[in-house]
Amino acid sequence: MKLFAVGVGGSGAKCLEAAIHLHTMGLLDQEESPPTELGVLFVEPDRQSALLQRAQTALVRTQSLHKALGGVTQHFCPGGELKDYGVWNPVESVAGQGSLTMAQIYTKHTLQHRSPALGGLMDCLFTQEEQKLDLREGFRGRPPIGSALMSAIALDDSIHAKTWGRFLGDVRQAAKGGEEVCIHMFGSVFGGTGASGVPTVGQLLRNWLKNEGIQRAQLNASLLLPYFNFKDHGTKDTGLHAEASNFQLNTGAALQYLSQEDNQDFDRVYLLGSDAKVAYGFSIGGASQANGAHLVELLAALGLRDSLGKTRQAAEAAYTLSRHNQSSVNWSDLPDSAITRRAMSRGARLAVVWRNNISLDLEAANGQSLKRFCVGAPWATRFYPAGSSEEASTLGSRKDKDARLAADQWSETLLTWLKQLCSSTGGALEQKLLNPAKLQVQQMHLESLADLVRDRDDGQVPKRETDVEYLKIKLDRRTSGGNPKGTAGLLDTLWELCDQP
Amino acid sequence: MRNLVTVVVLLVVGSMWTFFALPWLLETVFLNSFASPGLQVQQFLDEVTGKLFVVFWCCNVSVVLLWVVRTMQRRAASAARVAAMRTRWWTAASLLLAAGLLLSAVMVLFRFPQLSPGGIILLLALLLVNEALLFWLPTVFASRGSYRLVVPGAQLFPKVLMGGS
Repeated sequence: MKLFAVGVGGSGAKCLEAAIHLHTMGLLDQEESPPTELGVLFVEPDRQSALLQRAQTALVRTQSLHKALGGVTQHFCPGGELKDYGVWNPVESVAGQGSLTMAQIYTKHTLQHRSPALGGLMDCLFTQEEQKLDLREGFRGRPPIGSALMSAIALDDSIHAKTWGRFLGDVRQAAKGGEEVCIHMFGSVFGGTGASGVPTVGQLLRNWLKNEGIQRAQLNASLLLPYFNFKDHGTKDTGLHAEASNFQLNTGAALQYLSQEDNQDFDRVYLLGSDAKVAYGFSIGGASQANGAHLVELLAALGLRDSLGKTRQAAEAAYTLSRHNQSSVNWSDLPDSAITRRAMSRGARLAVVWRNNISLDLEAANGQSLKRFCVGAPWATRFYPAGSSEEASTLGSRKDKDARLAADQWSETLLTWLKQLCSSTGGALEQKLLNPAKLQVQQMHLESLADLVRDRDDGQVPKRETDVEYLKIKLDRRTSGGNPKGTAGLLDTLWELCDQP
Repeated sequence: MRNLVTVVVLLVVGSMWTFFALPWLLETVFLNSFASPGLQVQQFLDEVTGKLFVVFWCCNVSVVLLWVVRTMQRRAASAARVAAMRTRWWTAASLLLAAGLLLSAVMVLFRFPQLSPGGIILLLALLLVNEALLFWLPTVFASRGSYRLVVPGAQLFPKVLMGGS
C-alpha cells in the first residue's frame, strides 16, 4: 500500500505532522500487510510559515530515526518508508524568488488596455489591496486569490519536477505496478491557502489521474472546518489578513462548491471541526504563526487511516463522528478507539521513557567502558555485547551516538506534538487522553509512567507495571535470540515492552 | 518475594556452615593446624567457634538484611544511581572485614598469643570464607533486578539464577 499525503496551507502541514507521527506509531499499517509507505508533499506559499517548518522538522527527524534504525527492527518502524516530496510553493513556481501580485499574474496593465471590460471585471472580483498583495506570504485568508493562482497551473509541468514531478511519477509507477494507491489531501476550508488549494489541487489531481488512465487510485480529503479563533485581530498597519469573522463565510463557500453534484473529485471527504474553539494568537503568517497541534488535526490524519483498505465503491454513505460527553473528549471518541489508544499510548510511553530516562543513562555513560556502565544498567549487556576492540568495549561508538541523537530528537518532537495535542482542546472542553504534565521533556530521570495515559482505571494496572525500573528489568530479562543489537535493538524492544493493551 | 526467599535460603546455608560445619571442621580437619606450644586448643576453639564466628555471623547477617532492605526500597530509575551502590557494597564489605579483624584481635589473638603464624593465617582465611558465604553470596543472589550486577563477581553467575524483582 502506498499513501501519498498532500498538506495544503498551515493546517494542512499540521495534519501532515499528525500523519507522520501516526505512521511511525504503526497506525497507518494494515493487518497482515507489509508496512505502508507514506510520501508527503507540502503546498505552501509562505516559506516562513512556522507550521510548515514544524511539520518539516517532524518529517526530517522521523526520517533520521528510520535511517538510524537501519531497517533491522522487527517491531518499531519495520520498513514503511517515509518519503519527502518537498514543499511546492505555487507562488514561487510562477514568479521565482521575485514578488508576485494578482495584478502581475493577470497582467492587469495589459488587460486594461486590450480588454477594458475584463480589467473592470477583475476590479469587481478583487479589491485594489488584494490585487497588490504580495502573495509570497500566503493568501491571507482570501481563497479566491489562491484559487485564481493555482487553477492556472499544470501540475505535471516540468517546472514542478522536484515536487509534483516526483510525486506524480511515484503515483504513476505504483498504480501501474498494481499497488494500491491512496492520495489524501489535508487542508482547512476556512482560511486562505487550504480553502483555495484543496478543491483546486484536488481537481487538478483528479484530471491528471483521468488523463493517465489510473482507475484504482483513491483520492480522498480531510477538510478542516473552523476549530480555532484568534485571541485578537490585526490593525490597520497589518494590511490584508485572515479574519476569524470570515471563517464561516469561507467554509460555506467551500462546502457549497464541494457539494455540487457534478463535483466528484474526491472519493471520500472527511469534514472535521470543533464547537469548542481554541484561541490562537493573531498572526498574518510567517514565523509568528506558531499554533499548537490540535485534536482536530489528529482526527483529520485518522481519516487517512480510515480510508485504508476500502474500495472506491464503498463510499456511498455518510458517517458522523461526535464525542460522547459534551464537556470532555476521551479515547472512546476517537475512531477505532481501542487500536488508536493502544498505539498512541505506546508511542507516548516509548518517547517518555526514552527521552527522560534511557537516553539520559546513555548520555551520562558516553565514553565510559561498557563493563562499568553495565554495573548500573544490566539491561545494556543485552544490547551492547562486549567486544574485543576498544570501540566495541566503550559506549558511544559513532553509530550508537547517532542513533541515540536521532531517537532523542524524534522523541522530543513526538512529545511536543502530543503535549500540544492534549493541551489545546479549546474552550472548557476537558481532554482525557494523555497527561500533558507527563509529556514534558526533562533532564531528571523519570521514575514512573503512572497517570501518563488518562481515561483508564489505574487500579487495573499493578503499580510496578508503570515503574520505569520494572521496564528496565524486563529489558534485561529479554533473551538475546536473533533480535537486533545496539540502539536500534534497544528501541525495538522498548517499543514491544511499552505496549499495554 | 524471590529475593527474600533467596536471602533466607542462603542465610540458612550460611548458618549451618557457621554453627555446624565450621566447628566440626575445626575440631577434626584443622585441629592440628592450630596446635602450638602452650596453647589450650580446646579453650581456643571454644572461643573461636562459640564467640568470634557467632558475633561475625551476626554482623554479616545484619549487613545483608540492611543491604536487601536498602536495595528493595531504593528506586533504581537511573543507571548512575544503581552503580553508586557498588561503592556502598565495597564500604560494607570493608567494614565487615575490619570488624572481623578487630574481633579476632580482641577475642582471640590478644588472649592466645601462643597461636602460631600458620594458625593466624588459617583463622583469617576462615573469616574471609565466612564473609564470602554470609555476605558476598547472599548479596549476589538477593540483589533484585536492577542491582544484579552491582556486587563484584555477580556477572560470573547465570542471569537466570539471579535478581528477582
